[in-house]
Amino acid sequence: MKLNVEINENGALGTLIGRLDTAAAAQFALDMKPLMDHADGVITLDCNQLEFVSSSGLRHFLTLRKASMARGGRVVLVGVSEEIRQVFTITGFCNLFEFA
Amino acid sequence: MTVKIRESFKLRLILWVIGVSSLLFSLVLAAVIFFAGNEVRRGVRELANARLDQIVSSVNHFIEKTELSAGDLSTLSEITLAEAGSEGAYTLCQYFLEDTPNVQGVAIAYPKGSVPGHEGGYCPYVMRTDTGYSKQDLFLVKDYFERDWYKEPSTTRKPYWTRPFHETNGSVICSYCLPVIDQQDNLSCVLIVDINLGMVSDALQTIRPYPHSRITVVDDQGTFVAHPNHEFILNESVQSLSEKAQTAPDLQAMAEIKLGQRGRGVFKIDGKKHYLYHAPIPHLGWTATLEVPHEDVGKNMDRLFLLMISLMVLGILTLGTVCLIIINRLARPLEKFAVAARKISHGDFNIELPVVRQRNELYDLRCALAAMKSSLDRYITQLTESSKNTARIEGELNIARRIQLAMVPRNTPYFPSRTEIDICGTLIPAKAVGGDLYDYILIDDKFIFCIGDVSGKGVPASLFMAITRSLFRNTVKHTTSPANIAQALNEAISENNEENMFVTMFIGCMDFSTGKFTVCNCGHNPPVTTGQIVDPTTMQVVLTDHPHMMQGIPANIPVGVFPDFKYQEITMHVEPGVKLLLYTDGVTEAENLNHELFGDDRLLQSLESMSANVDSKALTKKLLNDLHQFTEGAEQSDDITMLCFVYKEKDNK
Repeated sequence: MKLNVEINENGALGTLIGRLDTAAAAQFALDMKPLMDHADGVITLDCNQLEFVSSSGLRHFLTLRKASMARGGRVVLVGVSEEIRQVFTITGFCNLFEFA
Repeated sequence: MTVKIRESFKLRLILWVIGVSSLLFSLVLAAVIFFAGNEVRRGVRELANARLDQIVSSVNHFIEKTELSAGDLSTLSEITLAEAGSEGAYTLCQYFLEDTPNVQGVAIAYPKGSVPGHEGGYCPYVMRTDTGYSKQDLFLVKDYFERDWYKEPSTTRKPYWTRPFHETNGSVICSYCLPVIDQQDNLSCVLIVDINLGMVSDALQTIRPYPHSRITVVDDQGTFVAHPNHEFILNESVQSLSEKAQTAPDLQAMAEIKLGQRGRGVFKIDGKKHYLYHAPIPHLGWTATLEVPHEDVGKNMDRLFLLMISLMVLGILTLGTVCLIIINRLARPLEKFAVAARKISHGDFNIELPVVRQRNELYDLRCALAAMKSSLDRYITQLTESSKNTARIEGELNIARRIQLAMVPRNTPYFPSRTEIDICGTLIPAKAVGGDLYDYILIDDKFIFCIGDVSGKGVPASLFMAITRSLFRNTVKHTTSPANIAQALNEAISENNEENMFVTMFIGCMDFSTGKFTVCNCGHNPPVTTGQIVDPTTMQVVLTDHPHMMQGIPANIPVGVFPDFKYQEITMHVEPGVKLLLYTDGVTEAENLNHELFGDDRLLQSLESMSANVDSKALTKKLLNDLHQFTEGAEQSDDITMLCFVYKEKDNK
């Protein structure tokens, strides 16, 4: 699992690559720190190369979502595959995030 | 085994040392033999030529001495004849012989009629014998006037050397014949001085350079005039030996001689090498030869060779012994180190390492071993400590696992009195403890059940699971509405949820008195159903024998995410015969070795393959079996939980 973070004028862009499973979740939590610092703006998560999300991974999406909600920002997911969209739908998380 | 390796190590080193030194010694030996051999050969040549010169000068000296003494005698002979008469000649001859030891015999031949009383002829002759001297008048033996030794010098009036001839006693003689001319130019007599060639031969042999050398002299015809074997003298010649050479190879030596020349030749006798040196004796036209067997020359070489070989063997043996001693001295501490290392390997860290005084490689080894010893000691202590901790944690986890598994209902049938309920649950944590849960409870006619999956795994998830399960048990006492239960749980869990943990849940409530079935899905996988059920969206009864995912249930967010979330539920009507399978994503996301997921399709296929009246226990068992077959050999990555509920026809008996 890899997370590349890019900060620009519009906010922050995080590119997720690989499988976000329980084993990768702990490292993802650390890599996510720069995104958390920009929770007051728009956080875009590029999920084109995201293969899998476990419930531990969803927890970190939720952490990000809660932080941005507390500081008036937004979290937008782009390029979400059908399989991952299914996970968000089943878990009801589709209600919490914006998909673009 | 160790000993064998060490032995071979020693052996190999010694073999190398001996091998290399042998090679070096051999090279040196070869060089010495080559150069020394050349020197020896040159020495032999020089010695042989020097001896040849000596032989030639000896023979010349012999001849000259004979001629000189004959000259002396000539002056005396005239006086003697005049003063002492005819008999005085014998006295003179004997006196002469006494004075000249190299002469065998001497005669004075007078011309016919020159001596009074001996008118026919007179030739007094004195010869050396073993006992003394013998005297005779040769005229009485034979008429000498026609013999070459008289005729030749008397006619030419010049000194004459006869060819060698056999004397009556067998010795070989060569005579010097000197004519004595008086003042009136008349021949007064001829002096004959005999030389014993055997004596010359014997005298020559004393100056041979090597024990088996032979010295010979041949005349201008090639006939032997001096030879260590006296029988050869006059009887054999170079030519006659050449003819015999085929049958008697050792005679071939002589056949090689080039008469009257200086030279050198190599030939073989019985396969043994011989050198032949020859040089002319100019005065007589003779040739002197010196024969040197290679064996005699080689003796010196052989002695040198033997000495070198002995020194070499001695040197190599000394080297080997010194090497052995050095290796043993080096290996002894190594053996001690080996013993120490073996003791360390058995856990004895208090062992004293062997003392090394010199700061060499062994000292390094000792330092390394000491470092290893202390490091091992430290690691073992740490490891023991951490093993203890691990064992303790494992023990605690085992207890935790038993506690957790006791939190979910295990016994079936759970409600022996309610024949319409057939329920079976199974929970297999991926680790010692897990974050999945299920529970069910019967309150009056209402049967409330739930399945849940805490985000994450292991101990943190298990704690959350325990909280959720306790809250569920508490909440159902106050409300049987799944949405209300979800809301109550959500509020309790969301409070102070710093870690943002959450639980996906599916909560259901079955009212047996009315057939109403109410469900609330909080972000969980939809259950699979079979049997008569009312489609909640169309409110139409769906009749199907095929298992399918329950659809149309409102999606709510998982429990514990946002405290104020309003959960929605849906109610439908079901008839007996309905089967419901609840499961967590550990089932559908179970992976095999090729990283393929079990998935919804395989889940449905597995259920499809079962008979319609299968009970909950058999269903979960079969499904679990199919799942294990699929994941064959792969490690279980997530908790696997199933809860199967079959609404049966009530048994009124």
